[in-house]
Amino acid sequence: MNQAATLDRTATGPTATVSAAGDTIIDVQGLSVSYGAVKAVRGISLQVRSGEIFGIVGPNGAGKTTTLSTIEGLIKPDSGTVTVMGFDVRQHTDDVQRKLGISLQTTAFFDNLKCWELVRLYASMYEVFLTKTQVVEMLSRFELAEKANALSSQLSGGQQQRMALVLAICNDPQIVILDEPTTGLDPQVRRAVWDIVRELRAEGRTVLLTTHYMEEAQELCSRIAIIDRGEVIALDTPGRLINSLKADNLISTSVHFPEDEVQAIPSVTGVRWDGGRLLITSRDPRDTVFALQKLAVEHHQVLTDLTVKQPDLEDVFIALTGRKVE
Amino acid sequence: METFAQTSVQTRSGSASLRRFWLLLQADFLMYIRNRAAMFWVILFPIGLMLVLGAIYGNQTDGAASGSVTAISFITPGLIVLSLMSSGLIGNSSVMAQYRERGILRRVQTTPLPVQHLILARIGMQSTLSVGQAALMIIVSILVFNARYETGGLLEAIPAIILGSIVFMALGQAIAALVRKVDTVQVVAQAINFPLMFLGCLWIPVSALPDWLQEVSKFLPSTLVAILVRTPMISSVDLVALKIQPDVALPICVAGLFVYLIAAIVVSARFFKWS
Repeated sequence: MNQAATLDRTATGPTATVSAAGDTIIDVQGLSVSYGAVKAVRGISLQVRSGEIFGIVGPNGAGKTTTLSTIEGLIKPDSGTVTVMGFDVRQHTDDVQRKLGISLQTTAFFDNLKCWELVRLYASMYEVFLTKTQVVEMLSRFELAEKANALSSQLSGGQQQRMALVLAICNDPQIVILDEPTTGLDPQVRRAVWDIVRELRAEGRTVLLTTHYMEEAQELCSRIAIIDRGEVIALDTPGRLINSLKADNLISTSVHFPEDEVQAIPSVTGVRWDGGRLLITSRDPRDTVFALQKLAVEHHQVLTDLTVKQPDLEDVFIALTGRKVE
Repeated sequence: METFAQTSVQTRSGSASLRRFWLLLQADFLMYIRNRAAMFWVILFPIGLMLVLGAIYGNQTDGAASGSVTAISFITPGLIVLSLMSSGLIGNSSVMAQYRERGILRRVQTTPLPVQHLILARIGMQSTLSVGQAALMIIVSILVFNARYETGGLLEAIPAIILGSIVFMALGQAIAALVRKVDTVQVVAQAINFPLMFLGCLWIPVSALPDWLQEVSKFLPSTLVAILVRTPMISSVDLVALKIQPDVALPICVAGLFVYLIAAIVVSARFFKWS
């Protein structure tokens, strides 16, 4: 597959930009899109680098899909430009689309086609012609080989999602764009999709995806753009965004400690009771937990039921917008 | 994976484009023959109707000079047109609306395949199959009811069947462009199909219609296709004198169908919606 990817790159002709890992592969500049009076995207700029998993994160209706649609050449923006591997999307839609593998929010399977026929059909739309053996090989990577002769309507939800990913790579694209690839999937299937996405990156492809699951973005993405109401409100690695909050860890327990003694622990920044639980904010959770253990021994109590929550992207979003994602 | 690499390299040549179209045709064919509802309405329903109408009127002769031509020979060409309407007007409009509603058109829009190719392949597949469907109906009418046709006329009917199929497919396309939801598209298509079926001289002779409806009938695409298909098939009979079908000359029928075709294409292109 890697070899195929390399060969395909050389086949793009003299105008194609061969991008090394880390170079900007998708460049979105000052993008604005409106539907009638509604401004869906207001001046979004972002750069996706070759070989990364880039996540566009935000609540429903934030403009994620609109941004992707513009990159895919489906929507003409009011203003701004999108360049993919050096090609302007509006002027070279065809060239750009040949580089992209796409999964939309709807699975878009034709009725009454067997899975292998469906893959062959979509690949042929890119003028990539696959034999059944090649298709079955592809399907087996996604644990769908035994479904090759099944109709798409016979697939389970998780299988359909994997099938959509097969269709997204059937043209051997350098860039894979996935719109909410795990929405509505149960946690186990979601993890399986994450593994596939990581594998796509390991093959040298660049992955651009959207999600409204903050923990998914944190777990999976090299870098993320948080967008809200059509604007990028933060763009960095998940780790740096969380660190930038300088937020304290939150320790909670139902053990009845004397409040003043907890407050006296040097690393503790705040203590309060909430619904029968003691909530402790700490700038050094290891030190605080250690001190709490000592306190428990002193008071002849057993330190059960203690949770430590580190700040996460959800907190970043709340800090930036003052509300929760959903 | 060498072979995969090699195949993926050959892009943007004319032959690749042709091969892509051929695969589209193949896929359309597979989807069509696996669609049981379409099979029922396009093949079994017209044949069933033929068996019923044939049992009722089959052996009636026209009473005129053409002693050997029975009613089934008038009815079968009309049922061929009915089948064209089922697959075109009703079938194509709902398939296109489904493609749109289920995001298939959007997905195709993200590929380098021009959507016109997707539509043309469907029309190509359908118009080809329509000849086979017609042949099947003709064979049944001959075997079961001893129907008689002009051998040369059967060949002349082929281009008429293909033209009719294309016109009804295009009209179905236009309906799908004008109406958004699958459910509504099906209702609208049925509502248009209904008068075309009863006023199109398919199995009800034009003489059975009130005068003003006889005038309307002359302008319906179903009538025009029925005249084009039926006339050569039983050319020994004067269908106008017998008031089976209205008096519209064959070139006028062709011209009229082209007006419908062009109008349908203009409407489809103007109001096409991706999603």
